[in-house]
Amino acid sequence: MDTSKSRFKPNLTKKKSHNNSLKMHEVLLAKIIDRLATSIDQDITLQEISKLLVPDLADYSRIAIVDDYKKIKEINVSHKDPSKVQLASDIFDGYKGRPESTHGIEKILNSGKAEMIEIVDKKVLQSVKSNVSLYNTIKKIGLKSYMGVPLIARGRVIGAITLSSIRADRFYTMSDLKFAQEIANRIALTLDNANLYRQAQNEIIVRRETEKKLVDAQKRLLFLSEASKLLSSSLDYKTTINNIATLAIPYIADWYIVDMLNEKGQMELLSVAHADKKMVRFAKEYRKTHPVDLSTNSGTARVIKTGKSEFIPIVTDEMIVDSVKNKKELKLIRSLGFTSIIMVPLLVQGTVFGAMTLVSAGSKRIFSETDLSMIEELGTRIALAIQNVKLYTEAQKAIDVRDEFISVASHELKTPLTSLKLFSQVLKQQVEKRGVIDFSKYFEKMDNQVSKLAVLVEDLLNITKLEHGKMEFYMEEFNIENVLKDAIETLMPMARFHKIVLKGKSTKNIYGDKYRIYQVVTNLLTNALKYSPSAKNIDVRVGTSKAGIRLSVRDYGIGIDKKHLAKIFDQFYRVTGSKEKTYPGLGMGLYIANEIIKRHGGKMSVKSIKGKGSEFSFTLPFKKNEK
Amino acid sequence: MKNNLSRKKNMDKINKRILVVDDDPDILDAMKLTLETNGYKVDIFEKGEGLSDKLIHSNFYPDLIILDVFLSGTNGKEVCRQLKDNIKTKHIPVLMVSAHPDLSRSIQDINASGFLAKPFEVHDLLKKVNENVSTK
Repeated sequence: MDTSKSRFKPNLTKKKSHNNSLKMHEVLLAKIIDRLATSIDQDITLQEISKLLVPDLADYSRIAIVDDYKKIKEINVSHKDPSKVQLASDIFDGYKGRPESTHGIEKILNSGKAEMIEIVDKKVLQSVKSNVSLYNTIKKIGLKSYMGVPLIARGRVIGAITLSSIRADRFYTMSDLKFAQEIANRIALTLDNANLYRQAQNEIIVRRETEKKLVDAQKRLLFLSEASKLLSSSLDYKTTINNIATLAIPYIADWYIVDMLNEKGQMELLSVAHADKKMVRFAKEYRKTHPVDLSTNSGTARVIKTGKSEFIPIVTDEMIVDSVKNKKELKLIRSLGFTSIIMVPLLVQGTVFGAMTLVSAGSKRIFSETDLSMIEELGTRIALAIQNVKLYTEAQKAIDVRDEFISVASHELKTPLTSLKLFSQVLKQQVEKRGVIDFSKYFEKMDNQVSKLAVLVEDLLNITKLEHGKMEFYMEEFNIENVLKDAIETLMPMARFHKIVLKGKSTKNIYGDKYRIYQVVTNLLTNALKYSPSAKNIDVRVGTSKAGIRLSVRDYGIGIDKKHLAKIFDQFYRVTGSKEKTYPGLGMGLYIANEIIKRHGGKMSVKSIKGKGSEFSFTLPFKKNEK
Repeated sequence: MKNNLSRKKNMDKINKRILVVDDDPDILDAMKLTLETNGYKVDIFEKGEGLSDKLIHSNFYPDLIILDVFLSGTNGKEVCRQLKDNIKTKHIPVLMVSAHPDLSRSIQDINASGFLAKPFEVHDLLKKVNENVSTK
């Protein structure tokens, strides 16, 4: 395509030239559209388009793009004659960064409008004369004609194209400008689409990353919560720490190692885990010959001494070389392929119990700060669990010692009580035989006191057992009437002025511990006798209801003031008051009785009017299958 | 009348021999006094160890053994088991006593005839003894 001649004689061949120009435009546009359609890389595409523009449409072209950060990026400076590229570039540099520029990329980017200097004549040159270098360059390059168009996408200026002609036969016309704008529009559309696509892609990537982070966070939370569950499920923390390994490997790390400080202050390997059992055996063997040396200041030793975590996101070969003693070790450690290491102390309230090491090896997993925080958290939880177990064990030991003491003490107290009772009763028998009735009465009183002492000792033991759930119940089916009769018979000697009246009947059996129920009934009857010193009767009623068998012991004694009623079943609660007559006791009997009834699934209650007497009653469920 | 009855009972007891085994000498004294006062012949042992062998060796077979569950040296239950395992002593009834009332439940396993929780009343002791003493 040769348009040079036509340009020399514009008037004569205008039409032909116009046709030629249109044809050229058509071909060029087709090529540009083709390039844009196959565009993968924006920069390369623009470069190629630049090359299409020169020399067909210009001798020099420049494409600038405003990026996401409003920075102007120059894609191409193109010239058909490379030697002139520099000169051409200088022209634009002359305009660059000058807001007052009358023409050029910056002007177009600012205004968003196309511009054209059809003929660069003396007048035009004169206007830039103040900028000497620009003036000289324009002259030197022989700029003949110039046009520039903005790249506009969705109303926004995203770039500009400038085209310059130095050919004496090419002067831009409105038609050229329109064509340039057409090209610019196409480019802008493609760039914008590419941008939108990229943004969408980025959004997808960001979303995926967020999702991955969420999943990771959930995984971590789940891991921590599962580990915590394990830790709280057992007092055997050593086994628990071993079990945590199955949660950690291989999901969190490839190696899981826990070292504990023993009582001698030495390090002991507690747990090693790896997906491959051979590796576990190897690690255990290796640790035998290479124990953690607390006199050194590296790795686990430092973690133990400082109480601070060690984090090596990426293990370099240099680190390995530094850490080994000989070539054999070097070869060995290298072969393990450590990638990333986290070591955390098992630390709580200033006490270090040991250290936990997690290693990524072989896999491509690289630990992050988030991993570190999670492992530190796990370390703290493990330490807390260990501390709890230690505290619990110590407390339990103290309780056991106390229980043992009380058990032995009550046994030791009962032995002399047994002899005392036998002696006092035999003596009573003997003096009665000899007719010394007065003495007999005193021996009986003495015996009663010994009996009271025996009850107190038994109650002390029972309270200890109840408190620690160690009271054993031997459940069997029995008729409560027999138990009642036994209890009444036993207490008859104490009830010299009272008549204990048994009312009602119970045909159904109850299911419970006969001996304990006997204890409860005895306690209620003893209280009734004790707190109704001047009454004649004590009524014992037995009957059945839907809930089970109901039994009540009613006395006509001193009664209980309202303010004491709610607390009457409390441990060690005693009715005392300035106006009240005090009765001896430790406040254990009713507490124990109520507890025994409760453990039978029953309920005990009290009704009382001060001065009129009290009624204690309880309900015991029938044997389970009789409900 | 009541007196006559008890006198007759006492007559029956004259030949009944009871062996009391307890590691507390005061208990032994009290038991001896109580049971003798009530017409029994009483022997006492402070140790339960090898009791069954000792009895066989001295050809002494009491009509009842009152045995404490917690004996220093040997567990009373073990002593009872040994007695019950030996053909020559297995017929002797054993009344177990203990300051731990809960133990009353475990005496069935060792074929003891009865249980009494310490401290006990004289009449309870006599009742149990009377119930369990060999009637041969």
